[in-house]
Amino acid sequence: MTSVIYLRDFFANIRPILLRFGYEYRTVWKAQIVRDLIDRLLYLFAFGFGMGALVTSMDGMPYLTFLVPGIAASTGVFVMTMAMTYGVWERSTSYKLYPAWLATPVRLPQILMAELLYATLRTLPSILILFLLAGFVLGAIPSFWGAVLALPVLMLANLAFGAIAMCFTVHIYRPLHFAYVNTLWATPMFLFSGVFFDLSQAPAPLYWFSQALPLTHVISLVRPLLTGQELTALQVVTDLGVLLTLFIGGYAYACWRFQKRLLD
Amino acid sequence: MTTPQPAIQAKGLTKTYKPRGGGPVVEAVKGIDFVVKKGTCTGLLGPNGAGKSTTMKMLMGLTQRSGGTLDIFGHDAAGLSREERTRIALVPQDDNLDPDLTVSENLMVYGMLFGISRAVLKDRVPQILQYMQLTEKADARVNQLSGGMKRRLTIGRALVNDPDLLFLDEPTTGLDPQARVMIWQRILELKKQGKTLLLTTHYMDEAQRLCDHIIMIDHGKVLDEGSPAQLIDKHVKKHVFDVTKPIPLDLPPVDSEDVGDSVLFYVEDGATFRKKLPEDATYLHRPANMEDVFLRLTGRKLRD
Repeated sequence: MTSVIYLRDFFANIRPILLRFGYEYRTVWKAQIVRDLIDRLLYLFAFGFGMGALVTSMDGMPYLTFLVPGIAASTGVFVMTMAMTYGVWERSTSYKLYPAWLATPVRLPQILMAELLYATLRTLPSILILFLLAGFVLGAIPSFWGAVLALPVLMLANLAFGAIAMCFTVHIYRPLHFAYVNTLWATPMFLFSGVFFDLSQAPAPLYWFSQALPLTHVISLVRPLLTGQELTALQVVTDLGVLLTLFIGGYAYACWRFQKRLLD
Repeated sequence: MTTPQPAIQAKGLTKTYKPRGGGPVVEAVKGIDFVVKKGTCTGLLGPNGAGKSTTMKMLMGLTQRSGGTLDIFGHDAAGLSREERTRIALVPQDDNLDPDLTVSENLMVYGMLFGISRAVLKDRVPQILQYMQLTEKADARVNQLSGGMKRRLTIGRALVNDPDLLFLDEPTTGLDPQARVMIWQRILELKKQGKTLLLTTHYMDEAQRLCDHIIMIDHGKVLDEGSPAQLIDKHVKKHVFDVTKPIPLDLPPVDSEDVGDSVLFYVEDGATFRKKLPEDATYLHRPANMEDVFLRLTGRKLRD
């Protein structure tokens, strides 16, 4: 009974914060989409056409086709990391909105869940535009339905990326240090998770390192979906399991540490 | 007859914390007891660092207490139900309005955080804007508002859930006299509506004007409490003579305090004392006020 009330309150309290983000989004959506998308498109064009001219095929497909799923999967890494580091800092510490919200019936886990949900939803338009462009203009997405199936996978992945970024945020007390999250976490993950090259051809240490990076597990699902490669049930269960664990584990840890930090 | 349950009851309330980056443990609140009766305006006064804001934060559940008990509506303040939380509101010391939203969106979202439906808020938000004289600014962004407007919006925001218990943490700090008078009127109206108010302020005239009961705290402890009149009577008598030095000889032996260029004499009977002062003495005669009480109780040394 208590848990039913808890869940009811949990969702009742998330809604107004999502509405707050909705009000904000109404004024910033254009700039937001451009910002979220533009650097992904730069990578897509620079590597797709630049490298693509040298590397005619990768893992048995045109290089551009190989590249698109990785670029799509990496969108969330950067958007979520930015939103859950600088964004959360801004709202919790510089604007002091968290203390304002906590003076109402809303509790911290609900605020953090609303943060994750909003930022994740925000990546959807960017990824859709990327898919439309890559699929219909560049002809680099062989499987239409695979792309549709990839969307929920990417949303789960982005929740996980967001939850992980939050775990960094709870330990950072100077916004200057958020740059490390980008240079030591997001960027290396982007480079070593098989966005640009076939991991099965990589040297063994690099291969094992890549397996420790969450983005690898997103790409190993999304690339087969988009390109029509074979996908085993074991692979699906493992990768989704990894992402779900990171999302829930990261979220729980962030809630616990943030609570301590705010309430001490 | 049973005494009615107080709105707030603190017993042995303590807060200690370890400063980030090391250093000795800080005792911000050292076991204080107090009661806030329903339907009253109680002032929590003390110099900077006395423990007022920490006490406020503990009441709001924004910081964990280290010891003692703290009850609101008869229940532990740290474990209030959702329903009980909807009956409480806070006007924080710093305006923490949402800069990404407009004035009316700020109220809309805050109301929904209390679980109030959009339909109810559609009526209530314009009412609050009018009450706080912000109607023209409904669609402005928060950073387009002046300091006084921000403060009014912060107070309006705390009224969106029509609370029974309202915490006001320095509600008029930094405002011009017009805005202060307007906010005082609103606070007195809230009192008339039967709401319970807990107020902190550094303005003693404000405390004297608004509060039924005053709790003086310093260094994390309660120094004294009572109504403004009781405290004035007890600590400084009725009249103050601020006599410029040199002090005339053979003045009657009354309670006095040397404050540098002059000496303050606290006396019960003003007329008699005035007769004792030589004609050429330079002095200022005024009724004693809460400021005198405050300075007597907490000393004149500067705080950080």
